[in-house]
Amino acid sequence: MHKWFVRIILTLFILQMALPVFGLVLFTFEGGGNFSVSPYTQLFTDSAFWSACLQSLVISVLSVALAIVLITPAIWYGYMYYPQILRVIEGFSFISFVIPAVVLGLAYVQFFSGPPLALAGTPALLPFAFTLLGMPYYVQAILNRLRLMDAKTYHDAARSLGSSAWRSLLQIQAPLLRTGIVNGSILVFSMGAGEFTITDLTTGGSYTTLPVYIQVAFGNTPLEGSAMAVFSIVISALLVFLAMGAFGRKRREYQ
Amino acid sequence: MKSKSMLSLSIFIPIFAFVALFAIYPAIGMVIGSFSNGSHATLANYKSALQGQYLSAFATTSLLSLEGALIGIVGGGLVTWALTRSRLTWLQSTLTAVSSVMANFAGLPLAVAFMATLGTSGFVTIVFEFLFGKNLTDLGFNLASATGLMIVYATFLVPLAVILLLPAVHSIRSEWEEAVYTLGGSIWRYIRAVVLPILTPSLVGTFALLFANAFSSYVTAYAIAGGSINLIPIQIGYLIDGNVTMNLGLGDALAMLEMVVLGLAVVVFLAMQRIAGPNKRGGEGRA
Amino acid sequence: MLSVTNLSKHFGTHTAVSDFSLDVGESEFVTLLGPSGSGKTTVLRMIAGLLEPSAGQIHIASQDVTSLPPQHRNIGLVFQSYALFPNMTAWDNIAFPLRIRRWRAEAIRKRVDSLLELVGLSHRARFHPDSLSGGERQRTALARALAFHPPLLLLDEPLSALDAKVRQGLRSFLKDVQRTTGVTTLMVTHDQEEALELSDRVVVMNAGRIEQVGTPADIYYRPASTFTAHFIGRVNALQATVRAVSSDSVVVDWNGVLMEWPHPVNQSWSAGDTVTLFARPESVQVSPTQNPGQIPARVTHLSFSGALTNVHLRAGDTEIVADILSSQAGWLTNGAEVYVNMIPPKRAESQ
Repeated sequence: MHKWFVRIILTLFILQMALPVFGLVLFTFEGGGNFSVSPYTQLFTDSAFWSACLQSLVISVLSVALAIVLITPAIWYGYMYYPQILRVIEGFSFISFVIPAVVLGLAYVQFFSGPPLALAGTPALLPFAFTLLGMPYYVQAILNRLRLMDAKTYHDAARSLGSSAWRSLLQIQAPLLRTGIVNGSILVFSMGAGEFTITDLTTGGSYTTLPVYIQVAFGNTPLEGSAMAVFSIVISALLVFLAMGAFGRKRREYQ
Repeated sequence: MKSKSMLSLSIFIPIFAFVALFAIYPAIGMVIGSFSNGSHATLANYKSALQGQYLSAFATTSLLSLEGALIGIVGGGLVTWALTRSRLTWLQSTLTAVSSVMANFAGLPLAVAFMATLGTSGFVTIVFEFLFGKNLTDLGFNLASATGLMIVYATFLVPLAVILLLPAVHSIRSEWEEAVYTLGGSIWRYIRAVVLPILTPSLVGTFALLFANAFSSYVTAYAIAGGSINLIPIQIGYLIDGNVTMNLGLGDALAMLEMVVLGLAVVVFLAMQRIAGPNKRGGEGRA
Repeated sequence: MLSVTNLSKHFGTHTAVSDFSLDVGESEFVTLLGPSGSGKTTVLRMIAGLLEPSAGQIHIASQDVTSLPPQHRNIGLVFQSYALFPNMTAWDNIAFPLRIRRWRAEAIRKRVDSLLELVGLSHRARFHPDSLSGGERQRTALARALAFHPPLLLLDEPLSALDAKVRQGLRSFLKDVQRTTGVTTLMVTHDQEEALELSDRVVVMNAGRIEQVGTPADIYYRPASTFTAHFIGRVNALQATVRAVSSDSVVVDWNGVLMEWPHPVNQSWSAGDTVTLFARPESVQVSPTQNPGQIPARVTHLSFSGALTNVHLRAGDTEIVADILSSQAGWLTNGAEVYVNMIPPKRAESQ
């Protein structure tokens, strides 16, 4: 009885997850009435699509770089020496749960539209916004890694051998933290690559990332828009599996 | 020694500067903006935010979010339980990955996916009519309704609940179940006396986070329901997009109120995480 | 009390336990001893009802419990990881089985308090498992398993998660509790010292089968197989030839020296056989001058380990290890020419 209950629940869950995605894929192939792969061929020959992908890539990579540089050293040092400060940073990281995208967009439009920080209307705010949105996930990824790898012992060993704190961070800890950084980066990246609301609000539609272009395409050519949506699901699935792969490697290393 | 530790504290400056500039400064700006009508201090924004369509938007959003969180926690709880029961590790890791993907599946793509699935010419609608001879629309189903929105929300709330609950459910050790049996208890006794008390903090925390997530959904809600359902994020969106006359003070007040609700939910989530933490290690001393 | 007959367990094609039979008497303390993978825990879990046997029967107090679910077997089980419920205090953990059995509140209070006193944890009653030390958790788990007066107590590696010092203390404690309560006990362990010290009888297991059943002295001094001999402590294996056989002993020839040796269990030796004798290091005598029955040997290495000194010797092409009381080993030096003989295991030791 147990077994059947488990099977029924999992089957229902798989259906719940698969049906809308299947519906979307089916629509891209048959939306025109007959089976056709033309939405995809159109998509891949559409130069505007590729430039939107490039814009997304640039912004997401910038967000990831910002997250790595801003967050990693602080979390590492707080974990080592200042647990109270670490706790404050951890608390701050959840700010993005409190400020929803639409509110953050509203705030940025209001407060970054005049000198000295006239950033609204340009994509300059986006990396900061995405880093803020990705912060809870990035912080947890680094912390999980620090807890798992027994960073304190390595640091003490490096210090006892005469290394400075910075040298210990760059030469010993950073390579060990790599999987945590990779994991967190993937999360920040997918956050940035999928964000629509803030992009739309703060740039006023002047900067076309993939999600913005999908929105535009749905209005004009729904089939191509759907094909793009399928494309972005595939990318985010790939990213998740990449992250799981990094996690699996982390496990093996420490067994 | 003292100067050295002051120097080392400088490592925290960038992160605090970042949070101050890009989160706290705009938040404070909104607090001030919400109490101002452009020239002087006023409570008028909050007065209008707490009556009429805005008040009813709060009621509708809260109700829908509670409903969504409930569906998410029950569905996600069952799926998580089933996942840990299944002995197939490939299925476990695949479905965990699928959950991560689907928990972030939102916005217009999700809305369109549902139109293509459950819309008037969606494939499930067509298959249903072929199998049972009845049209879903004739049966009273409408995707652009509260029910439709719930179905769409469940698509990301259930997998989100799975991701949030998995660590806690994994921390439940099979020996505890065996111990209950050897001590003479049944499976119901095990669930009541061991599983539920251990899981309660995680369940409450996850519920709070699901609620917050549903409460702040904007693009998905707008794409599915358009103007037919009166939700707070949609009202805020209107105020910025200029569908109504731009009223920043009112927008700020609505945003502040929403942030208070979300803040409460996140505080509950964080508090429950702290309670749940020690249980993951196998129990806490409160003597 | 407990009677297990022809018990087997297969996992797919792998046989974890085959044809296991054992009778445990009232108030007896029996230990299943073996390396990991020998099937001992599988046997324990089948007796507890947590695993279904592939074949065989289990009787407790002459009742067939083979197909009874664990909650109706009335067996106390102490888990290797203790499996204390993290959401309950020590007191509530111990009261748990009594609440299931619907004892009256007053009776529960009395029973739990007296158990806490028995295990010396009255002052820790209100603590959660997380704030108890390893040894305290172990004692709480023991009290919980004994709470409902089970006729049979099962212990799964009860001391393996503890550090050496705590373990030593808990060993005698465990024995005391077993004696005072008189509960029939079956323990699983891979620690031979623990098994020898605690048990009335030891069952040595290897690869899913019973190698030998006997008293601790039997197992130690008269191992029935090479496996048992090597698994339990260090041993010298000596090649010898049987010269004569009598009803309860044999005369063997070891490097030209004749010795009277007890007849082994489970084997039958006859004159002319080449056999292996097992002699423990403490049964080797070393002297500076040759006494009757001794053969010459050379000291190859000495290592001091406190009360005993391990003397490594070479006699012909046989390596021998002898444990000599350090207080009497002062005369030994590396390379010294000495004379050795074996003290045969006595009948008295194998009762």
